This record gives sequence, structure tokens and C-alpha cells, in this order.
Amino acid sequence: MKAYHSQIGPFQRSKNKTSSMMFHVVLALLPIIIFSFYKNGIVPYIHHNVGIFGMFYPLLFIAIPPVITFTTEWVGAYFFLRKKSDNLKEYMKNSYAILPGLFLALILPIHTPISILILGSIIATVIGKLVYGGFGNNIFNPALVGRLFVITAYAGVIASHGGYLNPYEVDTISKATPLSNALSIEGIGTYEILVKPYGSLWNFFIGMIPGTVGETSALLCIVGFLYLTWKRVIKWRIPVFYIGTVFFLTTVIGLSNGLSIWYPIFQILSGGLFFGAIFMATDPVTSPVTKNGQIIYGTGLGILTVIFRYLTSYPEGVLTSILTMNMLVFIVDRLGMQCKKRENGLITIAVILILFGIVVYTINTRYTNSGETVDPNFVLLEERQIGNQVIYTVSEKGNGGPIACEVTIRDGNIIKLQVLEHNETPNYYALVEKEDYINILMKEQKKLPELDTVSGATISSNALKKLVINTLQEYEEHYEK
Amino acid sequence: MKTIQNGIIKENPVFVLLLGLCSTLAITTKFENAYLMGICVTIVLIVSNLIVSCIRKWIPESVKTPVYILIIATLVTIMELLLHSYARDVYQVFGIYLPLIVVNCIILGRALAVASKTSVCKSILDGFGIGLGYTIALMIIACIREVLGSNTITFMDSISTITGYRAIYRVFPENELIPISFLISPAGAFLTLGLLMAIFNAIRKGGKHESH
Repeated sequence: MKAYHSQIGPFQRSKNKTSSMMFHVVLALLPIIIFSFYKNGIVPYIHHNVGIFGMFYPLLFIAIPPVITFTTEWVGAYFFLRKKSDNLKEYMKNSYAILPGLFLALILPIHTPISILILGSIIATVIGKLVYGGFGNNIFNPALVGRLFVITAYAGVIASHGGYLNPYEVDTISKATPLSNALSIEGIGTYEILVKPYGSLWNFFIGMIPGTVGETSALLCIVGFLYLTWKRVIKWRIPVFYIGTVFFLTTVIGLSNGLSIWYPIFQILSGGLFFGAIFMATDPVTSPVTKNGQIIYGTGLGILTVIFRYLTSYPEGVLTSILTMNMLVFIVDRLGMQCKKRENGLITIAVILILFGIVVYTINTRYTNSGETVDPNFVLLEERQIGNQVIYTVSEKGNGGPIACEVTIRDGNIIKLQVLEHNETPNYYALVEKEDYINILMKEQKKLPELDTVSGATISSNALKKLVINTLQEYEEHYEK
Repeated sequence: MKTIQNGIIKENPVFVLLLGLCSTLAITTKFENAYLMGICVTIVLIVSNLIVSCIRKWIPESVKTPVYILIIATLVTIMELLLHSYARDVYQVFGIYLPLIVVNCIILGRALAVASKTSVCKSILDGFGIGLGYTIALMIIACIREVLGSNTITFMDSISTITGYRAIYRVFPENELIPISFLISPAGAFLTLGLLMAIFNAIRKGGKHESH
């Protein structure tokens, strides 16, 4: 008689192993890395004397973090998670250890000092991954944790090293990144202000705009998206619904402010939205598994991104919204399960539509009012008239509290502008002083609304700018009749 | 001795019991604030434990908590007035967190859990041990946050009016990694506390494993 053995499943195995998935992701990132090398290395080498080292610097920049994250993960798995040597090999093979580093390099500004880059990679692995118990247990995307740390802790240092613009862009483009430019202007902006400084929307699409190392090219991100969807590595619903939601909401906002179709296209092509949506939001560990959950997740990301972009003082919305939604993945998944029932699904759709309405309404009221009403943060402390001079003591809300200034105006011109007191972060304020922004404000006082803010110290310099604008307005109301 | 050790390691109020975190997170931006706050809390804790323990037999069960709160509030008010008149700078540094010692859970917690049940002597020792544990925890957190977050360490600044000289030192030479101003923010406080807690518990449990 033949002996039969009973066996435990699984009997069919997919070819999509964790390690091969990682290979596909790296392959999809390859064009982006090459493009980044072209944009940040070769173009400055040709047009701007950066030397051979400067040419290969972007590649070095991208190559360091994966090495660091891999080493950190290996050390961490060995000492903290106490993996035995066989387990350790298996664990390292399946733990995507180099991916957080690779992503981190691609979403940081090119001028991040190498030491900060290394620290960021370590933080990404330790805080983002190991403290939760290693790969598969982390609730936040490790690369985004690393970036959040670097940006919150070292924004001033990075800006003082040169910020987001690579050496070639510094010569050709005087503005900061598109979204911080959009944030610094009054109201919602026009084509001339938002898109013209960077060429055309085509530049936005292929990625020849200032931004982080690898996030700018929407075209290559879409190529990567198609490849990864074809290989079934990522969940296509998340990016599609994410970008779709942002597109829809900004279309409505644009239309109700009299801007045509270029505006939503500008919004989805800037700020690394494509890169974030396709590569970061779809991280297999930190995104929902149910289909409906993925749709809700993507839509939620879109709503949050729009809220962050329009209603907070920070230009970047993708990073924070992905981290926020990462926290809610569990709830979103449960919601997704319940949405299989017809009435639950309808309720969810209704709630989402109501949210859309609220978001658009809030943003529109804020932006249409901003031109007419008085700035609530501007305070007139004192007003003195000496001869034909008027001396104002005024304050405006900056990053760390009110900034108090003494403004002397004669015949409608500011002849003296002196900061009396401020409570700004020293690193940022040093940038304002370094650019001699106060003198720039006085020199350019006739065309203030178009004046750039200091990149890296956007909030502080913007507060100073608003202060001057408001003081001039105050003067005009009372003395120019 | 065992009671004191218990307060520092086994029942460390910050790292193990997770009590009184509000002031822990808020004032640990400077090393000096940390030990001053620790001393204030320790004094209030010892005296409140003493009083509660003395009168524990006369307090009916049903009005226990209000009575204890009243005792603690009185002590804190005395402390506040004393600081206000003799150490103005310290008083100003603490601001709202000084009156908030009243609702610091450690003090009420120890009054309810220990002082209302044990003898006077043991209660005082417990108060001292817990206070010491709290102070040490605060000092460790503040040390890390201040050194990495603002690249200084302040031994005496606001109490220099009493002691006569100031002691603030720079720690690292000029570099781009430090100060990490993020650590001074509340989020940095949570991060530091969380990591320290993990390390503390790992050591505590590791020790237990070896003793078995």
C-alpha cells in the first residue's frame, strides 16, 4: 500500500516574494535616480562650474543612505530584536532594508549635509522601524519618519547650505520651490506668478523644477507606477484616488477663483505629489489591504494634502498627510470591510462628499477674504508724527510670536525700518539677516506683493513683508488724501 | 533602604508608573529646571505623605480624596509663596507648572496608595524614594534634551541670585548636527521620554532575567 503524508498548506506560491518585490521597486526607481543625476549633476556640470565631484555628488548622495539603513537594520536586528544568524539572514533578505534609505535620499533637498543625511537614515531605521519590532510591524513609513526628523530639526541648516535649488537652478531661477512660492504670495495666484518663473507646465511634468533630489519628475513616476502596477507590487487604487482627489478639489477651488485647468495641473505636479502618492503612500506595510479601504485611504490623503497646502503655513502637504493617514490605516481597513454593505458604502461616499464641500468652502472663504479684510495678526502699537515723518510701532505674528518693528515713513516712503523685538528661531532669523532682507524690503517697497521671501525662513520673512505692507496701507489710509 | 530603591528603580514614577508626565515633559528643557522641579515635588511629596500618614486613621473612606487634595494644595501654595518671596527667578521659570504640582498624580497617587495605609516612618521614606526617582528621571531627560537640543548645560542660572554665581557650559564645539532644536519642542520631549523608557525597561527586565 502506498503511504500518504498529510501536509500543511500553502500549496501554491506566488512568484511575488518580498525580496523580488523590492527588486521591482528599485528597478522602478532607477529612471528617477538617473534623471536626478542628469538634473542635479550633469546639467550643473555643463552650465555651471561644479567640477567632476559636483557632477557625481547626486549619485553619492543617493548611494549613502541605503548603505546606512542596511547597516543600522542589520545591527538593530542582531542586538535589539535578537535574531539568530539563520533568522537574521532571512530577515535581512525580506526586510526592504535599503528602501527607506533610497527613498529618504530622493525626498531630501540636494544641499542636505552628508552628516545630517546619515543621521536621518539612522533615525529612519531606528525610530521608524526597529522600535516597533522591525519590518512588518512599523505603523509609519520609515523614510518619511526620517525626512520629518531632518526637516523639523535641520531646516535652517539645510537652507543655509543652499536649500532646495541645485547650483544650476540658483543661476536660472530666483524663486524657491513652486509651493513655497505659492504660499508666500497673497491670495491664490495667477499663471504669471505661479508657473512662469519655472518655464511652463511641461517643465513641471518632466521634472525640471526645483524640488528635492528625486521627487520632481511626474513623468518618470508615472512610468514607475505603470511598471509596478503591471508587476502587481503596489496597490494602484491609492495613487489614483489620491491624485484624483487633489486634482478634483483644486479644480473646484481654481474654477471658483476664476482660474482655468492649468491650476489643478500645477497643483498636482508640484510638491512631490506623484512621487509621494506612487512610492510612499503605497508602502505595503503601512497601507490598507482592503480594496475599499485603499480607496478611502487615497481620498483621505487627497483631502488632507489640500488642507495642509492651503490652510497651514507649511508648503509641503504630502509628507504630513501620508504620516497622518498611516496612523489611521487600521480604522480605514475596518471601514473598508464594512463598506461592502451597500448602505455603509453610500454613507461613506456621502461623508466624503460633505468633507469635500467643507474643505472647498473653508479654503474659498479664506482666500477670497484675505484681500479685503484686515490682517488679524497685524497690531498697531503706537503712532507718532514728528514734522513730516510718521513713526509707527507695529507688530506682526511671526514663527515664534510677534515681531515688533519701528517703521518711519516720510511722504509715503519708508526711510527707516528697525526690528525692535522678535522671538524667531535663531537659525531661521540668521538667514533673514544674512540676506539683508530688511534692506531689500525697503528698496523694493513699491512692489512688495511680488517680492520673494527668504527661502528656508519663509514664515519669518513673510511676516516682515506683511508687516511692511500693512504699515504702508495704514499710512495711506490716514495721510494720503 | 529597600523602600528608597523601590522608588528609584522598581516603581520609578516617570519611567515605570508614568505619573506626572505633564510637568516632566514641559519643564525639562533645562537641566536646572529639572532638578529644581524635582526638589519641589520631593519636598511636597514627603510632607504630604507625612501628614496623610499621621491622620490616616481619622479620615473616613468616603472623603479621602478631597481631604488629601486639600492637604496637597495647601502645601503647594506654601511652596509657591515661599519661592515667590525668596527665589523670584525660579518662581518665574516654573510659571504655571508650580501650582500644577497640586494635580501631579504622583503625590495624590502615593497618598492614596501608600501613605493612607502605612506607618509614618515608611511613608516618609517612600515619599523620599519616589521623589528621588522622579528627580533623577527628570534630570536624565533634561540632560539629554538640553545637551542635544541647545548644546548647553545649565547648572545654575535662575538660582544664581541665591547661590551667587552662574554655571552654564557649552558642550560641543560648533557643528552642523547639534543643536537639534527639535528636541526642545514637545514632540522631542515625547521622543526622548519614549526612548529612555524603552532603555530603562530593557535594563530593568534584563537584570531580572539574570537574577533568575
